[in-house]
Amino acid sequence: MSTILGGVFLLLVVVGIALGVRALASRRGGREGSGHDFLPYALLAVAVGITVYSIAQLGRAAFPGANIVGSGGQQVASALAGLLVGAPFAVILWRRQAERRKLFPGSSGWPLYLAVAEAVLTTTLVVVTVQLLNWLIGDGDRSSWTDVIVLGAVVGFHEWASREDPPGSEAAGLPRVVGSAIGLITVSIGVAGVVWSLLDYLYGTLFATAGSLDTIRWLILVIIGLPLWVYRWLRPWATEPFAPRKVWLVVTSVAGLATAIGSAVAVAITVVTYVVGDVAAAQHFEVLPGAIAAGSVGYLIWAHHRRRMGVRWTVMVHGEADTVGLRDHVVAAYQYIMAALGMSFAVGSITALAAVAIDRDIVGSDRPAATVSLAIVAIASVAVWWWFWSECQSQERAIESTIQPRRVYLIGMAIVAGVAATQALIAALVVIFQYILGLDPNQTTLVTEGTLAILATGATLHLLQVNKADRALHESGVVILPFEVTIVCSHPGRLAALFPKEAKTKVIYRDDDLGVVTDELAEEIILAVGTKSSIVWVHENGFEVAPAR
Amino acid sequence: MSQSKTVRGWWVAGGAFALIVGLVAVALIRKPVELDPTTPEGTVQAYLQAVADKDFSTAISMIDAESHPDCKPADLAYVSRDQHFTATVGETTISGGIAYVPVTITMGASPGPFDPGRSGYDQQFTLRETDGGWLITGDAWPYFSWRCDQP
Repeated sequence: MSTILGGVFLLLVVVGIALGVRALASRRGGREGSGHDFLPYALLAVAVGITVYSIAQLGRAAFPGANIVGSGGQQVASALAGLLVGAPFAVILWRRQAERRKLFPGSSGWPLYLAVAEAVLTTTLVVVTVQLLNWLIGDGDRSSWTDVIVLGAVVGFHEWASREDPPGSEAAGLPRVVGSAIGLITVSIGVAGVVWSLLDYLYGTLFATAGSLDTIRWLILVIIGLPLWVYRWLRPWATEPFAPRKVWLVVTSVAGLATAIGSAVAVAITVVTYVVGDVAAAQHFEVLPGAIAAGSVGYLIWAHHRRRMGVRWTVMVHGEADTVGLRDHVVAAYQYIMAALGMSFAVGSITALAAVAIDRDIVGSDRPAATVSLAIVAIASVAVWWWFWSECQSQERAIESTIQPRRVYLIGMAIVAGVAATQALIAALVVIFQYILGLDPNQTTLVTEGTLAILATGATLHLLQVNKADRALHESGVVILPFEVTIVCSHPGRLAALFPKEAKTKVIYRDDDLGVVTDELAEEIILAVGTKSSIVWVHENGFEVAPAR
Repeated sequence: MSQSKTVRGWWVAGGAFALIVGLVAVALIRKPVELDPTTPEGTVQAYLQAVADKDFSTAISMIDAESHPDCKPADLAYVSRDQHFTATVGETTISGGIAYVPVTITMGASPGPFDPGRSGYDQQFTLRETDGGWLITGDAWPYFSWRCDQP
């Protein structure tokens, strides 16, 4: 009876899937909708996930290793059920979306789908490959080699598809950025592990502690992560940096520099607290290998990504072409985030320092070490804030005051600091009222909250004052917003030199001599463009100006 | 769609179908390896096969009675209800008359590649050498010793 019911249910499922597939197929290629197709791509991702999972199950069932009990029947049943549901939808949705992409080449759904596939499938491929190598050349547990083949094939298939049909839209760079992130995180952990392992071994040799050389498992991460990162990140990018790439540059630069500075601070604290403490050197400096390894990798990540920030333009100065890197919003965002981090840590560490200075009970015998540690953190934080804030302030104020990262920094940090100041002020007043009412207030609370209130209020006032000055500059009318001019010509002459300094000038050369910019023509172009971003096309009869974004 | 793309698509679909059929065939035809029952891994195989066959008396006879003197077949049966599993064996290490046999137990379907790449649950069986054979000691999978004290 159960066999008959099972057969009927299977038949119903097959018929249901066939009807669903047919309904999807009949809608293929329609022009309806915006073409972004987020829902179909989400369904495709689920269907592909089920299919890949099922094929991997089959691989494991077929090649389980030294099987001593049972056969792969259970796994085959599970895998076939998954394939029956997932594969038809995966195939039909894939074909449907391929047709839709011809009608809507700028679909945002396609790069988002590829990014999700990259995040899930490539991450899994990296994990199973690392486990396989750990099993083969390291001391890891048994791993399924069929997973590597199945996932490798699926990742390769997606890469082939993205090359056959490159994603468009502003999100086009997202899949590559996700792949770069997977590769960079893997290789960073690997390099940090190798450096830490070597230093720890060296440290163990010098101080006779329990250091051991175990670099294989870290090297495996480097072996897997490095090619992926190189392929995804270092290949030339098609055009100007896409938004995801810009965001990734900021994230990696901030994370890398923060890690490097944090590690340097940890090393400094370790050295200085040794002088004021009474701990044996062998135990005290055990943290150094880890701090140096993390700091080195952080520095390398920062050094690589920081250099790639900023749009490079060809600027014509007195008829000479000069390619320079200019500060853009990406660089500004990085600098303001670092300034915000410096300010936050400065306020926090100085507040904690005040608490340590007043509190004798809690800190006890670690008081000198805690004081020195917090003082070093405070000095480093203030230095970071001062450095990046000075960098920002050294820019042309009229231009700088208009950019978005500065506004976000000034207003956002003013709100955060203002909320912190208000909360701290209330807490400090509670203690004061407790004094007045003859209760038994905590002295440390008053000092901590009082310090925080003063520092956060100072920060808030500073930020609001700068913001007010920026706004006054706007209202005075002397601000010319930065603008970009792209000139298509045979020779730009002195044109670029005549634009105001707020202009970023890009020259695209024609392959003929019909578009030479004379001095008279240059003056006319300057008047026509004004201070608006434009595209200028110079031809034999003069020039045309079109507005640009 | 161009002719070449259509042909290529059919090749990909055909290849995928052939791969699936091949994997299913290999998985179903493949039988467990037969190990020498006088070896540690052979003892573990016989024990697990007895558990799989619900022959709990035979399974209990392979457990070292000194480890769990109060354990009865019913105790093992209690924790082994409705368990379908496959098992693969790793490399055995023997030291001073004690053998360690790593075994991967897969309950029903494999966790699959999205479950940190593991193919099952790793267990280690510890065996003591006896006259002409080996006995499983300690609390062996499926961990039923807690049941032995129950009335």
